[in-house]
Amino acid sequence: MNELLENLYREYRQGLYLLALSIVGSTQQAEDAVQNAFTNIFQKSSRQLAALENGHCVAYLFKSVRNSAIDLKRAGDRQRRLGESLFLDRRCDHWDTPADALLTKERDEILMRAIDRLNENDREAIVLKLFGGLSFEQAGEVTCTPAKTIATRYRRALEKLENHLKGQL
Amino acid sequence: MNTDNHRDLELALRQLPWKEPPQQLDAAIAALESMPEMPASEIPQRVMPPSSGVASRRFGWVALVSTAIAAGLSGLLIGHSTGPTPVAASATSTTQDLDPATTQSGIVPVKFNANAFTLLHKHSTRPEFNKCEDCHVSNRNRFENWFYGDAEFLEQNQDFRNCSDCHLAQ
Repeated sequence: MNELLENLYREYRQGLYLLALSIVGSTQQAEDAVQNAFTNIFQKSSRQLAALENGHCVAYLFKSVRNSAIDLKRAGDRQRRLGESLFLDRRCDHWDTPADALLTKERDEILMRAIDRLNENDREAIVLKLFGGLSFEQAGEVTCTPAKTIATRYRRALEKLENHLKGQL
Repeated sequence: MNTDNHRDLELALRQLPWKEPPQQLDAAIAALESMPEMPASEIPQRVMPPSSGVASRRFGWVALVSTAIAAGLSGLLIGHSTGPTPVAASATSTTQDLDPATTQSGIVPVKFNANAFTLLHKHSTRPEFNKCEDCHVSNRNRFENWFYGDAEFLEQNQDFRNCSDCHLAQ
């Protein structure tokens, strides 16, 4: 695989995977979506990718994975999102048992449930911004949406999560 | 909006146990190296991701609305009409988006627009768009100049001629 593509995968693998997972709702299909996108780019457009400026390059990659995930979702089940969580098994304990571990654990569980219940657009904005590290302009490029709309979705999602958290704790 | 709260929230979100890509995927991506790369001479010039400039967005909305209306009308007619698709009537409502050329079938082509393209494909959640091949194979000659831009665009972007280049699952 060419070096650029390999470096991009290393840097953005989790963001790309979470983006695909948030669309298809199935870990298996998310894997397929990322693999399909990379195969396609490797075979047909890696040179064009290299010619793009860095920011556009990242957006192009996310857009390819997004399109691939949307295609898979359509091909599989047009109406039903498979609904797998974006998080590891909630029973697994990633908390380091400090004094406030219980409160942190409770907060995290509430957040995870709330994120899984966000609508697709809001969840996508969270994944692109937090895990893709994309600017709103880049995220807009990925989703064919104006940057301001993405920014609104992102803020709205955070506010929803914040309010949900306040209501639960 | 309390920015500090959101900063804390963003930090908390980053620390959640998000799923990681499995090792099989890492291996599969790494294995791409062993795949043959397409020779440069066979690689078509791909279009760049759409710009997010204000002017292009304004242009985009006009094309988006008109093309979506046309898509709805023609989608309903798929399978019921053997004549030319009624694209021209709706397309002419946006004269600034039209290419002066007209195709042999009498369809007035609309310039390629990425936003419209995305929207059109979202229509596939409607029953009449369930089968891609209803439009993209059997009616391909009717649709290609409309959905995928004008003839000149297709000439310059040969990779858009094969649906399977982009739509791997089809």
